[in-house]
Amino acid sequence: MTEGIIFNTATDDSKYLTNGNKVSIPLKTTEDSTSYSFILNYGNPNPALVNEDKIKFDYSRDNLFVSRACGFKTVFLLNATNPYTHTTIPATSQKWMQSISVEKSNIENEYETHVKIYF
Amino acid sequence: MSFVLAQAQDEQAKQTAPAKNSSNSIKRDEMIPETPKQATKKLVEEKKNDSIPVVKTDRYGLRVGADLYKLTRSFYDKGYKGIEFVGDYRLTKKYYLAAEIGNENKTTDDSRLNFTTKGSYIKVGFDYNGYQNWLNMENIISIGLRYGASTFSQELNSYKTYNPNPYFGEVPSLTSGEKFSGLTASWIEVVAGVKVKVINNIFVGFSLRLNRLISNHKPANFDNLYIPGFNRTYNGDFGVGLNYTITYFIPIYKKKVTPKK
Repeated sequence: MTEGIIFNTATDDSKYLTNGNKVSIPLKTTEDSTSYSFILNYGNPNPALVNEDKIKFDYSRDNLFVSRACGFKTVFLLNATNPYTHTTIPATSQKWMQSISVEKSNIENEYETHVKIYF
Repeated sequence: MSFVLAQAQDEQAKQTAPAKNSSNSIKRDEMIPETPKQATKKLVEEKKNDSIPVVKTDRYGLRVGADLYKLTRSFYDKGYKGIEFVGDYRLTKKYYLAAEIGNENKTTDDSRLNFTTKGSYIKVGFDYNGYQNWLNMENIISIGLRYGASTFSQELNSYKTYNPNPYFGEVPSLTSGEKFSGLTASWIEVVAGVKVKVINNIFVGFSLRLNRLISNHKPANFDNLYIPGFNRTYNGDFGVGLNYTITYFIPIYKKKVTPKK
C-alpha cells in the first residue's frame, strides 16, 4: 500500500501534508514491518529543498483480548537490536533526518511518544 | 354459622346476668320457644359433617425430568447443543430440595469474536412453595436458591482486532483455534418458578433465574463470555437464565395434613 496518510480535510494532494512537531502513524497489524516515506518540503517549487527519507519499522506483535464488543487489540514491540532501517530516496541524496531515537519500544497506545526524530 | 351461635350465647348472657331470683330465670327458660334449640342442634350436626372429609394427605416423593428449552434449542440452533436434567425432592410441606445437572456446547458468533464453549454444570439448592393448594392439588409457585458450579473449556475460533483508523483496510477475521481448558466458575441463583400438574404425576414447569457469579477462573488473554449453566456473562457479575421443564413425580410416601387451628 503506497497511499499517503490523510492528515487534513483538503481534497487535493495537500491532504497528505502535516505541519507541527508530532506525527501519528499506524503500524500494520498483520505484518511484522511497516515502511513509511517522510518527505520534507513536499510540493516545494524548488526541487533542491524536497528530500525524502524512508524508515522501515521492524517489530513483533501480540493480540490482546479487550472485550466482547471490541474483540482484540494489537500491541507492538519494536525490535531491540534493529527497531528501524533508515534509508534515503534517491539513495545518493542526503538524509534530512539526522538522528532517530526510540524512546519507548513497547507500543501499547497512541498517547505516548515512541520515536523521536531530530533534523 | 358462628355468628348465630354467638348471638345465642349473647342472649343467654343477657338472660342470666340481670336475673336476681332464680325462679324468674327458670320461667324465662321455659318461655323460650323451641326453635332456637333446634338451631343449636343443627349447628353441632353441621360441624361434624364438616370435619369428616378433611382428611387431607400430601404426597411426598421425587420429581425428575428434563429442560425442554435446551432440548428444543438443540434442534433449531445450529451452534447449540445442550441438555439439562432437573429433579426435586419434597422435604417438608413447603420445602423442596432441588437440583439441575446439565451439559452445554455452544458456539457464540459475535460481530468481533467467534468461540465455542463446552462444559458441564450442577446446581443444588431448595425451592419454597408459596402456593396454598386446594384439596388434593399439587401445584407449585416457588422461590428458591441454587448454588451452581461449572467446569468447561473455551475455544477461540476467530476474532477481529480493534482498529479505529483502518489505514491498511479493515483486517478480516483472524482464525485462532486457541483452546482454553480447565476453566471453572461458581455462582448463586435466585429462582422463581411455577409447576403445574397436567395429568397424573406429570408436571410442566417454568422458571426464571437471576445469577450472580461468586468465582470465575478466567483464562489468560480471553474471558469467560459464556459459562455453561450460567449463560452469557455481562460486564458485571450478574446473569439471567430460564428453563421450561417437564417432570414426572414418583410418589414415595403420604403424610396426613394436620389442619391448622
